[in-house]
Amino acid sequence: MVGIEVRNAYVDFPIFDAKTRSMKKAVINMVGGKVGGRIADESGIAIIEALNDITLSLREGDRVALVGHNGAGKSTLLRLLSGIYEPTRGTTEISGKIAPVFDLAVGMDPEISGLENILIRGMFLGMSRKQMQERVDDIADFCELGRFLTMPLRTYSTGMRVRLALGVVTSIDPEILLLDEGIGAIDAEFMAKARTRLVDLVRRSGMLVFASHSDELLFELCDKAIWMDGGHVRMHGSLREVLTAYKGRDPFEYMSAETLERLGEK
Amino acid sequence: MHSGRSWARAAKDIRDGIAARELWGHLGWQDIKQRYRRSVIGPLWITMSMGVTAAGLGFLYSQLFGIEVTTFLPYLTVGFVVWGFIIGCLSEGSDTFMANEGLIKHLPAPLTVYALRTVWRQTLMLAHNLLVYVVVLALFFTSLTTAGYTLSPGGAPQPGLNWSVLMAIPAFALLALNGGWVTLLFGIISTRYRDIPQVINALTQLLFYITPIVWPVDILTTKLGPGDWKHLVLELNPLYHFIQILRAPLIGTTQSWHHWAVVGAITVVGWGFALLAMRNYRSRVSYWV
Repeated sequence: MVGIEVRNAYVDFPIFDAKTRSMKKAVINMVGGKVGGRIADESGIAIIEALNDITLSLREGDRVALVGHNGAGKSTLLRLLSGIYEPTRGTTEISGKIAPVFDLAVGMDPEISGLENILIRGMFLGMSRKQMQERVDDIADFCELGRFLTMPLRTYSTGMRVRLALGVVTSIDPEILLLDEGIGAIDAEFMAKARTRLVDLVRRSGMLVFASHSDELLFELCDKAIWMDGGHVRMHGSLREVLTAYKGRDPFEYMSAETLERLGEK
Repeated sequence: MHSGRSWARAAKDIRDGIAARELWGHLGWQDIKQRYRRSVIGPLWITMSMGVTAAGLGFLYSQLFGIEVTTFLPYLTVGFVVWGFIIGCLSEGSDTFMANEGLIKHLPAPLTVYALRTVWRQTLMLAHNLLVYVVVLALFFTSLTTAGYTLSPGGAPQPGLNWSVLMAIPAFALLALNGGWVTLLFGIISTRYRDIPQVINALTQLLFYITPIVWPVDILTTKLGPGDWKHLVLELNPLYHFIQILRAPLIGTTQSWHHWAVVGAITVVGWGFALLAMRNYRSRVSYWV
């Protein structure tokens, strides 16, 4: 059974190199503005409270959008859901095969070819070398990179890297897909292609969590949403509800009937 | 207390890490190929530089100490090769998680994968360096197989190379096993306390000279006489025992069980600490890198 259960989870980062002397106050102090988590001070080490008391339950078939300001905790939440960060307090239970696509500048080796990167990324996601070699043609086909696949990754544009990463994660039949905003770098034509494949994947046996500031991408991929604010879950509901509350207006209001039909919002 | 602190999760990390053989095997090779990419002879540079160093220092020191070069050069070569592995595990091991920061923050994978990547890379380096050993062995085979050869004038007679060379296999296995705990333990500590790799770097040079690599133990024994307390410099240096269990079989010098005992004890204690660190701080590494 695919699912993620998060109960009262906190993610607190110790920041060892921040000058904490000036902040030495026994009480937690708030930083001004709404950007970033709270910064606390514990025994001389600055602590960034990136996520506060998160309780979530995600099930098979969910296609969830993560929205919120910069520094609201979207990326941190994705890393919590992927198991990269284990909560400092509270628990997470993840069941299912995870495929994350986060920051595309890291996690791939710029000096080796696209093909090699496909192999390595696949193996990191739990595939065997042989299984990945069988999928290479399919991935090459999907991401349309052609002869570029034999070139070192440093010669790729951001969009090309996203294509490669999406090609890998969609080829390995993951059950939990976690996408960070970086994938916005691809063109509309490829997005349409990727959408079909992603939605298809989720329908087969999985879930998708996608953090983005682009409403268009969210409409395409998600039907539910979580609004993150200052490390808390401010709202959790249908995409339309949450976006209406977050933006202060209904983003679906002026859409044509066909678009609504296509997105499954009658 | 965070829920991440559990023996079960630490054990699972190690099990899953070992099971991902293909992954760390591939990454380790990749590291070697990467380091020498676009150079004409590629990873053979590892072999070349070892060969040149061993030959040069072998001739120099054999003259300085007045020792037969035919037995001293193999001694020095093997010492160098084993030293390279040990110090590689120590210095690159403590750097392991920092070097893999990008991957750790972007892909969920057992930490053990990165530790094994490092140890495997060191093993491949050692394999390249063993080519130098093979050449040296071919050149000086007759001197090394002569029973009773000495490593310094008036030094203890050595049994000479024979079938006990096979002891090199378990000796290497033990060294690699130690590479595992060193990488995990020092890797975790260094990620939290960034001064540790600097301490290791600062001590490397000193350790190299106080460990008998470019000088034979015989010299110390002849100078001091038996039972002198200054022998402790040797006996208390763990690296001496590690070097000795692998070097002795490879060049046919006297093998002593006390080296195995010391290394065995260090292996057990070291893994004990490494497992404890894995239990308590495994889940913190992604926060610290």
